Amino acid sequence: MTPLQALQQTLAGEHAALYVYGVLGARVPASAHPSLATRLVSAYTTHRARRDHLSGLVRAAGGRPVAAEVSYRVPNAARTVDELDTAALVIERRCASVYAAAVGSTSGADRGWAVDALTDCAVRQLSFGGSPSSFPGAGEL
Amino acid sequence: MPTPPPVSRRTALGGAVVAAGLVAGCTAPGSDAPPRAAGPRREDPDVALLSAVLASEQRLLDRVVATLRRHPDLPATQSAALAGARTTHRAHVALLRAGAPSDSPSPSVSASASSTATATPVPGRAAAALLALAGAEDDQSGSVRHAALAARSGAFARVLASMAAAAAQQAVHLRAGSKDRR
Repeated sequence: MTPLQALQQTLAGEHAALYVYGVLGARVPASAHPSLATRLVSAYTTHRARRDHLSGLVRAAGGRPVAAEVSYRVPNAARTVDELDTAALVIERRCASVYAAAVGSTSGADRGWAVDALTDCAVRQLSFGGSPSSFPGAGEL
Repeated sequence: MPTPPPVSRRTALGGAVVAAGLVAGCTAPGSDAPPRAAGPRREDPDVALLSAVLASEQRLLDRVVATLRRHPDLPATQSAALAGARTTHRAHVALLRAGAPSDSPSPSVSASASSTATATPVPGRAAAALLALAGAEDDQSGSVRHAALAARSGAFARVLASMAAAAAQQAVHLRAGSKDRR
């Protein structure tokens, strides 16, 4: 995979993550579950900033940023608080895999940024009820 | 969301394993070429990186084990956090050792031998012991991140980045555990 392809694939992953976080954020009963609402907003803000950064990286590499799909499949029914947590956890795991792949296909500052994003996804998993794993983003190891 | 294709352990560490094979002067089976001179290949930067990360992972594993020994009667959540850290660093050590050159000294032996002389003391209070380990995990995450940036092989960089993320998870988990008074 070329660095540009890796950036485009990562951007596509962030489009999907943002969409799902938009759905989750709209469904959380914020007054009853302020902590979950705050965590979802924090995740949305972080992923949006990454999406924007990736679009810039793609352009700088001479590419045209891949567009978002009209809609994406939400990982579960996302009706209960537990389901909202689990859906967010699934998104962070997928993003961790995408960023781990990006690390392998980039170098220099872009790679460093991808390592930091992978680390953030891994740590964020814990806030959505995930457990530490030995190889975040590289589960086949 | 596109999911990256699964990569086998062998492929993921491929660059480092291949480098290790070259260090040992291996040639492909059936090759008529004489064994490659080991000298220059010994300086493959990824092999040196692998050895350094392996040594630091082993030191951290030794420290986790020492903490478990010093605090055998912790509340369940705290001992589970320590056991989780032990599992993770054991897995890191095992994977790196599988990719290490066969003629390199075993870091397991050297690190364990030296750790008895130079081991960082484990604090007597459980909360302090967990916090000290959390700090060590943060340091490990930073140094493995640095190694990921330096790696020549993209596949090896990916493995190292995952290990850096794992240590960051452990730091957060141990810090949370240190506040648990149950």
